[in-house]
Amino acid sequence: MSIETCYRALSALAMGVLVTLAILCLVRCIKGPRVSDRVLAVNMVGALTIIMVVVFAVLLGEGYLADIALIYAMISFLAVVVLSKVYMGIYRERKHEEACLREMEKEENVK
Amino acid sequence: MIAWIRFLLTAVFVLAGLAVCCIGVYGVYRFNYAANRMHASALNDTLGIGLCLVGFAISAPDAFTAVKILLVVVFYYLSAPVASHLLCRLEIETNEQRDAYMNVHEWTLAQERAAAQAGAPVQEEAPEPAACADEDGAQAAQEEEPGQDAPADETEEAKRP
Repeated sequence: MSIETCYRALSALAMGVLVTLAILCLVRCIKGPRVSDRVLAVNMVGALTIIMVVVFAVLLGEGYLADIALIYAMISFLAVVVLSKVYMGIYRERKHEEACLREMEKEENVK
Repeated sequence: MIAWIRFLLTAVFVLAGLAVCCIGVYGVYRFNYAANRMHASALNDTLGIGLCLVGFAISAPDAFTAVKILLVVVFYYLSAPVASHLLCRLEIETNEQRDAYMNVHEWTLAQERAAAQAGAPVQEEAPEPAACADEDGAQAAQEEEPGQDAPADETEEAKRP
């Protein structure tokens, strides 16, 4: 058995496990009762995807795929930051609107 | 010979990393609250990705690629705590039933109540906001009573907008 075959078998095993885990994370992302569960699942999918890209970098012997993994790490971090900031802003806006509506209702009742 | 040793080292590291990733995803399904899930996901973010990428860096085609792969690990170790912190802030800030899930410090709650009572009269002159805050408190207490530790996923899903 040559060493190439062994590397191929290891990569195939790793890819199979990683794809299964990524699909499970996606299911969690769809099911997750709250927004933070969904963002968490997206973060985990990002981590698994980085491992997948590195598997290809080593299997194909292409050095530039490691750069892609680095950029993917940056983008996945940025996605989490932006999503959490955006959802915090949406929540604050909704709270503000509810407070304004309640105030208007009270004023009408007084009249 | 050296090639086989490299392959064996890679296989050991990668299989350990995949096992840690499996445990992390299992933990995300096992816990039923986002702050607990964050614990399992951190396992995946640190040890899982670290072991896998170190394993593949051992058998990288050249040294420069190995350094780049290790750089990915370093960057991920630096950025994952920031992402976790922001996620936790999102959860704490937007969850209105959070004291049903976790022990929020009494002092923090008292400070929040004081801030709400101090901040409300500035916005409007009437003393209604205090009554409004009381209503909210009564509602929260009512909701807290039935759920002992943590409500099941289904009730939570029903509450979700």
